[in-house]
Amino acid sequence: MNENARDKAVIWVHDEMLSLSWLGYVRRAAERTEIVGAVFVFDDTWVADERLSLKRLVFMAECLEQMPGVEVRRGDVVQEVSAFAEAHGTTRIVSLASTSPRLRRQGEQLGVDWVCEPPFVELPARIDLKRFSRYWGKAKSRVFRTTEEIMEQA
Amino acid sequence: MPTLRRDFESRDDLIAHYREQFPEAAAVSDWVSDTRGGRDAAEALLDNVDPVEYGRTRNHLSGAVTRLSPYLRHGVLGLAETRDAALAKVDDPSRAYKLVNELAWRDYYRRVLAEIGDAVWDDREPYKTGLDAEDYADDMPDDVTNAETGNDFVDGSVRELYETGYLHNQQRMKLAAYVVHWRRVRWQAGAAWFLSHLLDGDVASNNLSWQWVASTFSHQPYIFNQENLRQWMGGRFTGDSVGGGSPFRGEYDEIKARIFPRA
Ligand SMILES: Cc1cc2nc3c(=O)[nH]c(=O)nc-3n(C[C@H](O)[C@H](O)[C@H](O)COP(=O)(O)OP(=O)(O)OC[C@H]3O[C@@H](n4cnc5c(N)ncnc54)[C@H](O)[C@@H]3O)c2cc1C
Repeated sequence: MNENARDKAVIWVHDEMLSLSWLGYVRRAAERTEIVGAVFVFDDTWVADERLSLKRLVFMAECLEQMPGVEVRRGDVVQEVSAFAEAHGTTRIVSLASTSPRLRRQGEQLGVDWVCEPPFVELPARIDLKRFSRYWGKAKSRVFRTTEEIMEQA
Repeated sequence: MPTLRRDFESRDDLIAHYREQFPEAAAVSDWVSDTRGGRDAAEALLDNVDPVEYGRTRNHLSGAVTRLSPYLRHGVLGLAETRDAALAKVDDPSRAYKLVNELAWRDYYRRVLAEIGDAVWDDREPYKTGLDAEDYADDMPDDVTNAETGNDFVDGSVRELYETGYLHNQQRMKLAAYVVHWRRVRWQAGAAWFLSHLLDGDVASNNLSWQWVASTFSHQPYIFNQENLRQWMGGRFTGDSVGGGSPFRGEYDEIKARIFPRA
């Protein structure tokens, strides 16, 4: 297989992955893919909808300051991330999976390939989440292990 | 192309850039927290975590809480990574029980969010206060958001929220209970107000905690009295209002009769 056959992708860095370590993590998970760039977009709609105050934006900006190589933009997330990918010669976008409905919606529109973060606890599918106590009843025997131990058993 | 600068000479330089770029955010609140963003600050805090001390003192305002929430919220630290770090600090996992249990609340709320999505803004269940959702006001009262209620706990906590973007869990529970139960405001209004000021603002933990306080995601409303407030506030707040009275004074039955007259 020649070099060109290798997929190219960009990383969409969102507000739940503001550490450089996720970039390495996503890169490793998306094996066989050449990562050609990473972009974060301050989401104008989110800032307006949640009426985010200045200190929150400053906090995120300081996180991004310690993530060299990530381009920082503002505006419409879907539009900006697509444009960034296109400028880097690809339509493929990878990112860290999130439970936020806002990020999921945007990811869906972008056709993102999600990479899951290491599990905090592995639980059977469809456990009862009506109350914390029900979740904890299942979680407590499995959560006092390191990620390495959890992965070994998976 | 709306690209933002990413290299700054100083913190002031960065703040000035963002203040200029987002005047609407500065208009919501122009304060900047002493809490610094970034992996370096997160690692320094993680190094200082003491799971055993945490288990003993976390409910006290001056207790050994971690202040990791803004970093966990933004993935500067992972939840599994933080649990691993906590376990590495103790010789037996049971000595980190309380901290791992609290981290699990975050995991739980995120799982609930994954299941319900935008319905995180809807009442999960009816209020168990003897009142209907319609009995609650839609908007936050100005005296609360302006920190002008005259109560030392309420006004002091609101100012702290604005200035630091952080509140201790006890302050969050009690301030939320004051807003929903004493002032009879829909939890949604309070939750939205918190989200705009908290550095860790997160629809999962925030909205579902407000619902827990309100009783739309629990069996009963969370309330407290002045004695309980003083027990955890380490002398920082008395719960007294200007003029000497307090909305929190009395036994639980008396308070309930006042704030839930139809229960
Ligand atoms: C009304 C209300 C609103 C809240 N809003 C938010 C929010 O927007 N974002 C947020 O992260 N937390 C929220 N919480 C939960 C909790 O108050 C904060 O996570 C905690 O106080 C953060 O401080 P810490 O990091 O020093 O916590 P520590 O006690 O040191 O706990 C360590 C970590 O465990 C997690 N954790 C601890 N307690 C809880 C809890 N009760 N629920 C969920 N996670 C928990 C947090 O990630 C926290 O950083 C809210 C609680 C209430 C009552």
